[in-house]
Amino acid sequence: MKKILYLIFLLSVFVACSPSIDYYTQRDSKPTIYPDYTDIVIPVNIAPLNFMITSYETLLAVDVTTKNETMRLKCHDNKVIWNERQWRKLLADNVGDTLFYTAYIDTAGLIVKCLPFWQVVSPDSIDSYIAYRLINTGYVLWDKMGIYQRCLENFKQKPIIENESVDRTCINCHSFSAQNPNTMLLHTRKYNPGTTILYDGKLQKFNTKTDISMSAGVYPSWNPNGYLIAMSTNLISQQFHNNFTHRIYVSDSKSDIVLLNMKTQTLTTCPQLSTKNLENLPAWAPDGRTLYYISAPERIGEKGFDVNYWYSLMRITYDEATNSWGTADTVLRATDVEGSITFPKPSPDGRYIAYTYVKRGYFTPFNWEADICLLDLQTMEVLHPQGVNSYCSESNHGWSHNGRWLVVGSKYPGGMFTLPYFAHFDGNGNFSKRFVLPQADPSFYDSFTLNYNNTDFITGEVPTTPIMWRDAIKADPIQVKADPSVDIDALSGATKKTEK
Amino acid sequence: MSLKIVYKALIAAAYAFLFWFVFYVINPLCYNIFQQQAFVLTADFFWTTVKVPGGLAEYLSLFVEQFTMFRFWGALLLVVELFATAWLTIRYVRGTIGENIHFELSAHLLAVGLMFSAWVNVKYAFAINMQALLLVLVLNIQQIIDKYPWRKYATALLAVFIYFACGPVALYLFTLCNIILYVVGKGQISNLISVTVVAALLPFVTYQFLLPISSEAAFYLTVPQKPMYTAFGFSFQQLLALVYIPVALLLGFAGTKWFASEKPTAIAIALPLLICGGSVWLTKKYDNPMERLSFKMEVAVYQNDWDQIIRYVNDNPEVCERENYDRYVNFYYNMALAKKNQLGEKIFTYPQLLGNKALFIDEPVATSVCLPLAMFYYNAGLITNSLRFAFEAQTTYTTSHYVMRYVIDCLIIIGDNQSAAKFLAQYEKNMLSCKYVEERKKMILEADSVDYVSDSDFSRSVVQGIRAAHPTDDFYMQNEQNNMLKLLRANRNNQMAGQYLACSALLNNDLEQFVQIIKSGLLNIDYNNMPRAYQEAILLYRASTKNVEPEIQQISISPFVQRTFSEFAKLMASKMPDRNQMVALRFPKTYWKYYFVDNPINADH
Repeated sequence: MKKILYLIFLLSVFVACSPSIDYYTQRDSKPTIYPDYTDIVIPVNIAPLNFMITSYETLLAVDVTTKNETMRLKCHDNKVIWNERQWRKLLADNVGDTLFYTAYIDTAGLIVKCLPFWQVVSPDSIDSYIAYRLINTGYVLWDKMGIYQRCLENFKQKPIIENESVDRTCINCHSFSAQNPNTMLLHTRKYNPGTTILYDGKLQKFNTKTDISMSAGVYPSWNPNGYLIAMSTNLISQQFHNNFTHRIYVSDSKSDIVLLNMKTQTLTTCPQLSTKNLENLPAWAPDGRTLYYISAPERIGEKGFDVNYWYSLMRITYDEATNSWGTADTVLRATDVEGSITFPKPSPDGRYIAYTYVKRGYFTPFNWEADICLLDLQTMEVLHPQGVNSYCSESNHGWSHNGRWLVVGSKYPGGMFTLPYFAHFDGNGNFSKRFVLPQADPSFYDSFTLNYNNTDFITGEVPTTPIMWRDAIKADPIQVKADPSVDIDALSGATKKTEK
Repeated sequence: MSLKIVYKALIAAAYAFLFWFVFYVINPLCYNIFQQQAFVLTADFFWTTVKVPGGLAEYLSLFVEQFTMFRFWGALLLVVELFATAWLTIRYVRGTIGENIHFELSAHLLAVGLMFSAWVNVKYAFAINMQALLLVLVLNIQQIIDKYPWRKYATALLAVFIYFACGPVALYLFTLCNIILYVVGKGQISNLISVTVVAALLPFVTYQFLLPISSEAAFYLTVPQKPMYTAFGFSFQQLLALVYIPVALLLGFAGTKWFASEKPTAIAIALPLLICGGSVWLTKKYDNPMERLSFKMEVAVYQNDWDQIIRYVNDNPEVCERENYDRYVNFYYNMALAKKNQLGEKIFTYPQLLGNKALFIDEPVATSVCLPLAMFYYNAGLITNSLRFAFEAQTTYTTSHYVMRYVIDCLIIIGDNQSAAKFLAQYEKNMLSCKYVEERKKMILEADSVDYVSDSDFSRSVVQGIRAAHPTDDFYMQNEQNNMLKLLRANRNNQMAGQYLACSALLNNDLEQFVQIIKSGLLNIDYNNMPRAYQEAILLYRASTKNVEPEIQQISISPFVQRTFSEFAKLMASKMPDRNQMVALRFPKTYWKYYFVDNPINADH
């Protein structure tokens, strides 16, 4: 008798969970779901893409059809929440295939069947973690902030370091060497200032301001060799504008590029990277011998209000063995694209450079027109991939280590808050439609008012604890040495010290 | 009627007095616009707050604090909390030391002492009070479990709890209580050992291995205490936190020996008198009327009650005295005058000791000035700048009721409904904000509906009006005078911008610029009946300039101002050694006095 009752109970649960939909009307459109996970390419190892419908209708059920089966998903409160194990199995069984989602919606008593949307399960796996800073929408002030790592295969987020333990200092510009979580740096400003670097298993804080640099290091780029770090040195200011969509601009009055060698803890530079022009945003090519960067003409007589200048994309070679630099070479002129080329990020195969195009200046997150562009170094063709861009600002992008995924910080929708989006890259200049970082609750972003700043891929979890970072940041900084062979003054640009 | 009943009635009366006292005197302090709002309908805020030592006390204090938005509930909750602390202390001492110990004296005195913390710094007062409350609660629990053999383990757990709930200071106090109890022969050695071990090791273990917190938070101060410590150094609140229980115990013993056993009637009368007298003494000694006034003004600005702000100043003439100068009172008063179109007329009724900075409040940007600046620019009509400062304020006052509302309203005005909806989704988790959220949501949802009708102050027509008057050109918002000029060019009827533009020239002692503004015709004023300060400036300009432009020469000046100026000119020509003093005495509240005596530009030189 007990068994029968148990079976009846199970049957009733099954019936309740899988509504029978016998009569429906076909609708000629796909459902409007949030987040928008329709018609996208997804990595085989991504966390469940939970979603909800955003209309005032009621989502009754969703059928997921694969090459082998059709499964009906439970819907609660208009949301589809995947069982993680079920999701992982689904993706593993359908690598390279397409999942079709058919939604049944109750609209004022009438059941409609929507056109299916699809998700292609790509065999190209995505790096298992991303690292980012979460910050308020403040401009000059800050209070709580932290740098976090999030596993893309599930929903777990862990802090790498939160500023509560380091006197609420500003923490920024985290950076990794070739997506390797074992080599990382971040800067702290205001309180406990310095650059804390995870290198060779040790966490140490450095003062990177020397006689040959106008400021401590700012925008960093690790050489793939894991011990050379190119950094810009900048004199930065912010301008607030009366403009609903372009409320703030960030610009430099001066900027140069320096190179820190972690093996020798020595900072070097060269006249080509310390001119009176504004050299900025270094980015190493995967070969480790070519340094890309951007450069704008010297600013003369401008005070503050002036972001009306364009940056061109440059490159220079560096031979570590002889500590010698090549000639600076213009890769893409700003005048050719009628705007600035900023945040260059060479693809891991070295063929492409993904950069942010912006009409003026270099600091893109607040510029609505900022878009991700792709420069094909073989053909020198500039591509404007639709899949990764929107009418809002797109910037702070990064490649996965296999070069098949791009993460983009986009202020879509609304233009206010930056969220990370992912898009698949086919290796031939084409991106699929992007999708936002999945969350356990699909309504998570409805009330989320922090910004995902500077999101970057990492191949695993950073092997440190926040306590280790705290202790390193609170320690006295190690002063890096200025390269004695360098005889320039970085502030005035390629001026011989003897001429000062 | 027994003495006990009289005593209880008097104590009740004393706490009723405390309620009245908080309601009327302290409440304006509690009604601070920067106060944080604990999100009562969600666990997120709870978990973020309690994860550090002292977090529970902070969360509870924030929870209570939000009710001070409602004067009655705020006062009632504070008094209930003070009474609970006193009652728990009495209970604890009686339970541990004995029924014959009259401990009321110290316990109730401490209630007044705790209230004192509200005077020194409201923002952290509740946190300190909550720490005390939780501590005596734990002491009571310890007293209850004392008869069980597992008490030493439970006591150790209580010590762990008190550390995470209230912070290191409370843990050390808990240890001290156990030491005192043991010394006077009322405590157990096993309890003392377990508490001492926890107190010696837990902060170190927490700091080194468990939590990424600062050493201050682990060993010395809780997170809510730390900013206060940074701001004020060693304050009474710190002292209070350190000596709360030891003082209670000592006073308890003293009370037993000196009063309670010998003169119960005296103590029954003395206690309520002490509570009331203590409150009055606190008022006399620590009341800062200017601070209270500036808090009241902030609330009035938020409520657009400009008449009230002007009334505050008119009813309290002492606030206009130089020695009572308060830049926030000055700032809000100027704003109210401008909103009532009286700035040019009455600006010098308040000493403008900071010059231009009294109009635009001081930079560099800090959170303390960001919300006032957001309020100012909102009222002036420059919504982009208001939003910027509201966002800056929000970095620190993340869940502040007022900051949130400025952010949301500015976002709706600039048309960013999606972002506004996100903040509304956060804000609706606060049960005190339902009406506001409902109105704004309706507005966003039905923004495009022609049938949308709202009777609120923030109706669609109001929003459209603000948008229409907003400058549309892109300019750099760093210069306040330029901001006002742009606002005026966008809307000639923007009286506030016009007055601020003209008055900022006056406060800069820049008569040339003032005359240029008058000549530009941008000010929407009657040139034959100009505000008094403008007339005074024009007379000064005419007297100090050789070739006065005809349009300035033609401006009519009232006979009264003309006559006063003649007297002023005579005085200035007299070359008396104490001329400036005479100007201050004979021509108070005039631009001339500001120009020659008060202005910070002269002081700088």
